Amino acid sequence: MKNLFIDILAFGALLSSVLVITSKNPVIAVIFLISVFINAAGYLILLGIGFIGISYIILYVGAIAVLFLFVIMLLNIRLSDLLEAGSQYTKNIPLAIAIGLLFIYEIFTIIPFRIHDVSLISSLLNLITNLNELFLTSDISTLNVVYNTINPILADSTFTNFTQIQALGQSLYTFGAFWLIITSVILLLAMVAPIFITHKSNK
Amino acid sequence: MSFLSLLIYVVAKALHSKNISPVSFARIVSIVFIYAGVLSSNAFFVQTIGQGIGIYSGLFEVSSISLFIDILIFFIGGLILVSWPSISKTQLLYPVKNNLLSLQKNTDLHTVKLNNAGEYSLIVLFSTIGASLLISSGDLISMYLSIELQSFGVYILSSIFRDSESSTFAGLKYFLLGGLSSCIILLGSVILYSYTGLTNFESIYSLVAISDGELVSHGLSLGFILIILGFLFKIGAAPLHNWSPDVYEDTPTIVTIWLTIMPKISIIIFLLELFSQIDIIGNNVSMVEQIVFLDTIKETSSIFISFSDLKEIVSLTNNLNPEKLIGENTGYIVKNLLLISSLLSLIIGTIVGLAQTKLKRLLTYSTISHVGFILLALAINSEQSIDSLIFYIVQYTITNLNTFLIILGFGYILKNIILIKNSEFLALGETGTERDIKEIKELTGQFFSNPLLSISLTICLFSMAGIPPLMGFFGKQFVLYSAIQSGYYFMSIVGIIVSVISASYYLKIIKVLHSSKVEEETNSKKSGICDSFNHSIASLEQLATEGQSQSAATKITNFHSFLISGLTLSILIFILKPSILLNSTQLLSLSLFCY
Repeated sequence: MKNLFIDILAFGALLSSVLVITSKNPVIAVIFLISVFINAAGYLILLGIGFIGISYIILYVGAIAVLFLFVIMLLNIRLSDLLEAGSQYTKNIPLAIAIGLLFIYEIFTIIPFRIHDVSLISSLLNLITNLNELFLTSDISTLNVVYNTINPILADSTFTNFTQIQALGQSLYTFGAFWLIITSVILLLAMVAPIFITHKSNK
Repeated sequence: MSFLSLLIYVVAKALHSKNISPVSFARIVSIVFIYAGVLSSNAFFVQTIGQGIGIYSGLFEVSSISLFIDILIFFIGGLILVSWPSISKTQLLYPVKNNLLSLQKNTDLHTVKLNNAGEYSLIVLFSTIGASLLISSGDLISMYLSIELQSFGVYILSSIFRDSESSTFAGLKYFLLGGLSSCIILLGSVILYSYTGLTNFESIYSLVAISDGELVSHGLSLGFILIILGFLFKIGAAPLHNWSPDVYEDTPTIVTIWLTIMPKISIIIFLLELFSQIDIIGNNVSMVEQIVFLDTIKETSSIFISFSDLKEIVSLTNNLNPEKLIGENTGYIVKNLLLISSLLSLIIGTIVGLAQTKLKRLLTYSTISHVGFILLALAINSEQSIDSLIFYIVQYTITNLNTFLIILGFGYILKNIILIKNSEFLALGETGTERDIKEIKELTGQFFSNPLLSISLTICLFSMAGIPPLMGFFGKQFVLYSAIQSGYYFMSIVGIIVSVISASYYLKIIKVLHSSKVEEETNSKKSGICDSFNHSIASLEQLATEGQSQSAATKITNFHSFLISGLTLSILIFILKPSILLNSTQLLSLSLFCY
């Protein structure tokens, strides 16, 4: 059941990310962007990565997306200009679709695709096996249990589920301390650079 | 080593808060760079760095190659910074001769220019820290962080002249496409992580070496391919090169120097470490497996004496081989990827370069073909080819740096003269790109007005084309030699043909440089500028008689000219004493292979 939710959330994230690009009105696009973030955050929380999911909501939805929304509303862009500019790029859609299909094909030939990975189907199978168990009490259902216990994703999530923030802090401040420093340098650059770019030299 | 980058950074911050004049700021930063280079060369004497040691809990890894390239990067960075604000001193002397109006404007121009110098050097610091971290990164996350640090710096650098439209455009384009390639790199590393659960390169290598599941192999090769693809995008290798001519042309020359040299060195060296590790492991695994297979064949053949059985077994082992050997499989795919990319970039870099009339665009295409050579040496991955790869990088860096420095010098001379001659030009303000040379035609007849500068440019271009006594020839020769030795005949033939073709467009520049102005007088558009040249030469002579120092007349600082002459001499004299560089590169490549 959890897998089903995860699938639905992933699908919702993908759908709304497509809608972000395709929607004509920028305000609506930003609202879809917020929905992408919320879906992704739900996905992460369901996977058991609660801390990052919550920080997703707080940071992206609470701060960045709302900031976007404000800026777009303040800018007062004319829709007609946007539409004209957009029509230039829609010419290339067939090319984009072709390249995307090629890419997906490549990846699926390399990554083995199993029917069990799609949880919609696997949950149906679960249902069938459960029914089987009810009616026939056969041994088929044990296979699924074995699959679920061996499935590394579940083991991973249960492992990280307790002491998440502790674990993060532990690894971040001891093992990966240098990463923290580099990240802070990048942030510093990201703060300094807009000042350089926008700041006017006083003549 | 990473400690030094931090040290530089702290120094930079301290300086930034004070209000030192930006020229001296750039100078100080370049001194810091050179100091950092000396420090990292000091680290050579640490005995434990033989094969490479991990620092910061294995997130970074220092080996002798990374140290060597660190030194190179720091020194070159220092040298590039020196070339920055050369007009400033002389500009102050000049207005005394001109009227008061132009004095004011000149000082205006002066301040704008200087502000940019300060920003430039600070961002260059950031970018260099990223580069030196990237070279020595030994972990997926630290790789990604450092590549981001480096490329953020470079994006900002290319859009730092905010007043000029073309430079802003170039910066935006570079930013978007670079962001795309970072996404690809990130996707690749995520796939690697999801298949192995490891981020450390060492552990991934050891996992590759011992495991033999098909699943892991596919995921690994996909991840590595995506990562390498992203890096190829960043260095502008052929099928993914479309952004580079636009970006390089639109940015001002002083930024272009940085763009063409720095990110490429670091990324290529990182690719070298990644690829050679994969390949070595692949080879080792395949050796072991083959030995095992041979043993089994022998055993079986001793048991079943009939010949047909043996044949069957051989065919069976042949069938098994490609699926079983993970490391070899990955290495094979990546090698083919690199070879294809090198072939395409060799061809595109030269053929498309023939049609260019703009100087920097042409140099960009020549850069692409150089990248083709470098990738060829990378893909072969024998001891000799790595030797030639490192040598080629050093040679490419020196030659390219020198060429761009000379072009910058030409730009300063020509445009300054024009600016001073038509003082209304100054009213437009300085956007940074005004000083650049755009068309090849602008260099017409420079041999007669600036003989030494044009001779050194000629030497550089000859060296890029690969004319024998110069440094570039040896680079190409080593690469092609190692290619032939490893049996890549087709690639080496393509390389030879392509370098001959590319010689023609270098010769085109040289011809333009040395042809007299009389031929061009038919061209109505040029004649105006030529007139102004004549005027300016006259004015220069006047100035010279007035006792101006030579540096004031040519408006290139002493150090700039000293640098150009030094680099040119090093290109020229390399034939006389090649052993220093060659020995060091050979040692480095041996250190990678034999331990």
